[in-house]
Amino acid sequence: MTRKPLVLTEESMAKINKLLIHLLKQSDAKCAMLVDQDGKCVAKKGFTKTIDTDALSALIAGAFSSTRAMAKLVGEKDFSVLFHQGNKDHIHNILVDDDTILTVIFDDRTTIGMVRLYSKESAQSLKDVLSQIRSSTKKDKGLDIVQEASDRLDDLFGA
Amino acid sequence: MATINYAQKEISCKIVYYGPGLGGKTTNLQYIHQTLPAENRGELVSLATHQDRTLFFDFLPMDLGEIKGFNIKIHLYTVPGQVYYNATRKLVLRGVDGIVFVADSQRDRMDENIKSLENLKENLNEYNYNLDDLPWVIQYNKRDLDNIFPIGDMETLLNKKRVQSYESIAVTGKGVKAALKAVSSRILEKLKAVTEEAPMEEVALAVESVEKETKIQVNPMVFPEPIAKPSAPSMSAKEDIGEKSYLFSDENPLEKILPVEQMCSLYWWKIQIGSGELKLMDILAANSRIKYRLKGEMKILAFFRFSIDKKLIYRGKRIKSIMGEQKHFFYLTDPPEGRAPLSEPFSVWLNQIGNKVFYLSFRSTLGKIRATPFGKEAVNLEE
Repeated sequence: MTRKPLVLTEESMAKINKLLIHLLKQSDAKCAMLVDQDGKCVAKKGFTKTIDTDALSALIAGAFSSTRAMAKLVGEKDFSVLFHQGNKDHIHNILVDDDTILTVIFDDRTTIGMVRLYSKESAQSLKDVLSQIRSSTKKDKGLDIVQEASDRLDDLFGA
Repeated sequence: MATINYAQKEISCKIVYYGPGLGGKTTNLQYIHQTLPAENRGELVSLATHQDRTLFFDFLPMDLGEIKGFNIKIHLYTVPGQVYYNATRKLVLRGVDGIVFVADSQRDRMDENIKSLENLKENLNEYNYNLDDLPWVIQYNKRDLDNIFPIGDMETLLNKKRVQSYESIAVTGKGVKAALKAVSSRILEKLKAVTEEAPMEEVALAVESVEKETKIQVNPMVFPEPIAKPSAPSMSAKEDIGEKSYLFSDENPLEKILPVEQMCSLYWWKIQIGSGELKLMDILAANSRIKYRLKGEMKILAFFRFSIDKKLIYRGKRIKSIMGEQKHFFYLTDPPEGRAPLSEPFSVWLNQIGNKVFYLSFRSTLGKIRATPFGKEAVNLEE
């Protein structure tokens, strides 16, 4: 693996979750997600049970990758904000850092201005937390689950 | 880039199915989607053209379930195989942990296989990845067709590095599981070698320093303090916003206790006036903080009946004294928007520990009404 995995400890997740909850409280949005550019949902808070967050994260990352490519074509480094306006629900995405996107889903209980303002503030705080996480350099012996995962795949495919 | 989440006990990684157009990449995912039990996979998201050619990517999340305390999630992607979609192919490769190269065994497709493999290396280089360092396998697909290369020739032309390779017929599923299993195993083997974890005390110090630096500042001139609502439940000064996450999420703190049915004694102030049966239950309402319902019928003075049907919000935990004994309750009230400002809420206290019983009180036109578990005296639990 050419890149080390992202390791999220309980403390760092608690910090991230606290920032997401604060964002939801301030902005009155429905839910907030932290999505990495690989398409994975790192953290989510709010009303998320009716949303397929795996698929949404993958699509958000894909959309942001597209907008990044578009930005380069017009001479920009990045488009840091991507906003989707619907009839009832809207999605606001903001780049936290090169690898992470803060996604907020909201409806007419709040306004785009509120969401944008608090997302920007939260993105800055999240960026600091994520840079701390990524700069951690300690190693340990790691998790050995290869055989069990292989057996589990056999079970799932009915081998 | 794999993610190890110690808080949620989750490991996730990304596998990309790469190869020339119409080689069988999407078919692999379709087979996996059809074969896996529903609880072990999500929906297959396909961004495709009208002719069912992959336009951007296909995505299928897999969940292997819990292994050694961790949920193992594998996200499968395919790329569009046609040459002119190279820009989008590159985007999907970001953060890849493992690759299944799906080669088309037909003789007239070998050039496309070779070009696609070269293209894979170039696209990985753009991210400073090296194919030799990534877990990857080759799947020689369409082995059921005529006019295909023998496996030996396929190996000579495509597998110079002698990575694991598998014959497959993706439409029937042959070889699909083997290739997926091989690349997954290699990813997890690498993960074992490179996993990093800071000791907890060092993380605590790091978090403490971040806390000092990352307080969210709000200009009080722009956002004045909200007017305090008298009907809001009293909270300890030390209570953290994190503990109120149930108000802004699908979390259901009472799901292991409810439903609770009980016979109640009904009191007007401290005078018993009747009895009835009430049921406190969950409402499966999405995207709402109104999660509970109290329903039932009470009989007053043996003649009159009245029904109760109230939707409730969870407000938090309370400690109250009953007959000199401290008891822990879950506190619920009706939504404030459904009653007059500053009016007394319809309140329910559900016992947290021990017997599944609840108490309630509300103000009617006749005065204070309370209900207790049948046979118990009226108690004053109000804020």
